[in-house]
Amino acid sequence: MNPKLAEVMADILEVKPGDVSRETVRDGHPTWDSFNHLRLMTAIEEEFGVQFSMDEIESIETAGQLDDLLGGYLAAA
Amino acid sequence: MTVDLRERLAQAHDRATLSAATTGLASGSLEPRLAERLARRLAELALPADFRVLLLGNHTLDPLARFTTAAAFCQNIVVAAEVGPFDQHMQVLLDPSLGLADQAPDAIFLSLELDRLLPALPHGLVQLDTTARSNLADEALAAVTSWVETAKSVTGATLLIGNFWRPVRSHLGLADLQLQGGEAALYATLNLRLLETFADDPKVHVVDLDHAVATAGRRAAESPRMRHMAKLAWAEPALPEIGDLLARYVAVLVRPPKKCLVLDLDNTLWGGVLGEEGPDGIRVGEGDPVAEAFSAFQRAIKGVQGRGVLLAIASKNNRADVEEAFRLHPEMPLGLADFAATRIDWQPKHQNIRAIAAELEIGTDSLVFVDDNPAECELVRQMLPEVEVVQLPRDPAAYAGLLLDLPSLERLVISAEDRRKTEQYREQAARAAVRVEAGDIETYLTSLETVVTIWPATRAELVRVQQLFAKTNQFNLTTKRYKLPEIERFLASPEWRLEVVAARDKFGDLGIIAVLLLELGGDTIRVDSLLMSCRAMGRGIETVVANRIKAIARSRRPKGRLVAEFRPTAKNKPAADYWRRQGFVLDVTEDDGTQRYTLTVAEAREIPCPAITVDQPLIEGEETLEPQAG
Repeated sequence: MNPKLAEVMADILEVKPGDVSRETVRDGHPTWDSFNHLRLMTAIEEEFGVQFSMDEIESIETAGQLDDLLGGYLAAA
Repeated sequence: MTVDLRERLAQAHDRATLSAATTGLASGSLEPRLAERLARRLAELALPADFRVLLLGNHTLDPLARFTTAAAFCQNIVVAAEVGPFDQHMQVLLDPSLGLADQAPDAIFLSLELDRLLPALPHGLVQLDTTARSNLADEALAAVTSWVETAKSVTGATLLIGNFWRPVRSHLGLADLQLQGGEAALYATLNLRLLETFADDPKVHVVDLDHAVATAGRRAAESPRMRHMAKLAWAEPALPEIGDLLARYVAVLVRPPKKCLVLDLDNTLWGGVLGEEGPDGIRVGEGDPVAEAFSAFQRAIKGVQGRGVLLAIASKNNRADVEEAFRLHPEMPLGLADFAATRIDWQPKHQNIRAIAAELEIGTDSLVFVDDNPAECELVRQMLPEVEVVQLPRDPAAYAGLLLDLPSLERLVISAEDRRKTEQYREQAARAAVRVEAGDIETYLTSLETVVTIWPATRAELVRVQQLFAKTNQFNLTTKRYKLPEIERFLASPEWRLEVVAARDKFGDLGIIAVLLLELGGDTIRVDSLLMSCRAMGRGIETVVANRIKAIARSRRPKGRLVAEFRPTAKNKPAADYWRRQGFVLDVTEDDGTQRYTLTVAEAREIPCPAITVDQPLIEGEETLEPQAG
């Protein structure tokens, strides 16, 4: 997993960077609620200089999916 | 610094640590991520709330709830902010299953986005004729007023009504301003009509969301993506500003207001040190940026005075120099006459501050002290921790904004009494001068030519009555802090009699200075509350009021009895002996110090007050049913 991504996620979700992995799941997560999800996506866009579509934002369910989505954008850049 | 603060917030596990972590943090300066963290921390600690607010509206308000909680905590107030169901502001009032009664909010905030309230309105403007446009505007306004009317019938909460904020873009672009009744005109008209509609309603306050959004920056506040994905009206960058605005209302509603601003002179009111530069060398007025900054600060002080805050000077200077400085600078916005009390000498500041409080007959805990000197500020903080100390920054250009940002000097309404406050204190000083001349007290009291008017309170006096309940400390027999909803109930109920007392004398009008609240029971009349502003104390009006109580009792319960109590507090010693002096008999003193008194109405005797002319209506009511005894 992109270590910088793990850092941004840890900061917004208020957990230790070590507690974020590709297996982290949105559903049932104590701080990854819908508002924090939007904050997280905005923070990632700012950090990496990318822009997600609304469909992409809505489709993300796990940190692994997010890592893959971001990886795709970064590879294309 | 921010990261450090985040760590400290994360580690805080009780209110004291959390307070320490946020000390010195102005609520408006909370950056969004910090505010989120603080709010979540507060939710985890589950501290008992000082104030409960319910947020209702037709857009997502959950983030605002957290920002409001965080901003209020920076003022050391714990707010429980609940968010009602989305777009069900009316249902919340009418459907008991939605839990309004359980939440028992102290305030309800309503925020309606115009686009969602009346989708036809902004977009259809160009197709509509003048009449149709104005009908739609009426409809938008009616949506708010009918909600307010319903809310008032089901809750006693203070109602905070957000006004309509303009989006960044208007659909007609530049032509919007050409079109009579374009979006610009529409928002301005609606917001003005909101102010006019609720101007005289003490329970409803219009919250200037449009201004807050503009202050944060309309572009930063607007995120179409957030709107479409989460129905968020405001993006994160605008939330600290709006949360801070709501927290300001909370602070005014929770805390007793500060009554007096005590100011230093050198490098506070003007630039430079008077004793060194001389009266003509200080910098204030026009023509030099530093001088203009001090003038702007003085104008801000004058504005605060207009809210009903008294001004005082505590300065280490020679008094003659200061008088000369004011004489030589008539262009200064403030003159010596603007100050209700001055202590210009070489005494330590904390002593002078205490003396100012004593002279104005207010508590030191109702003072705000402003000084540029860190040592003086520290001394006052240590010696008088109850005084709010504002240490000015190095740059005088920042002074005015700092003062106008202070939450403790906010008022929700400004009464006629507030507007005349300084004048009233000046008249007070003139009265004191007569007292010195007159020597014997009866001669003095007679020379004041006091006229007292007493009448049953009406809605017109509601704001002033509430203010007196909130602020009166010294002459307050039971110190019950009734809020508007309760006071309105007293007005409406035949079992309660609420009367107000106004006074004037040869120096001026003191306005409404006392409140009397009686509960009329079967054969007993209970004095629930009796309180009088300190500036009216000690001239015999106390006795006039007791006579009024006896007269009411005689006409309403001639064979009954009067009961009254004195509940001691830290501040109401001046009223301790009141009931005994008015002829009441002490029955019992309870463990908490409460003294209970009785007086049989048949034995009640008015005490003559020859120095005062009393103008009071006859007591209506049951005379015809129970003829007056004796």
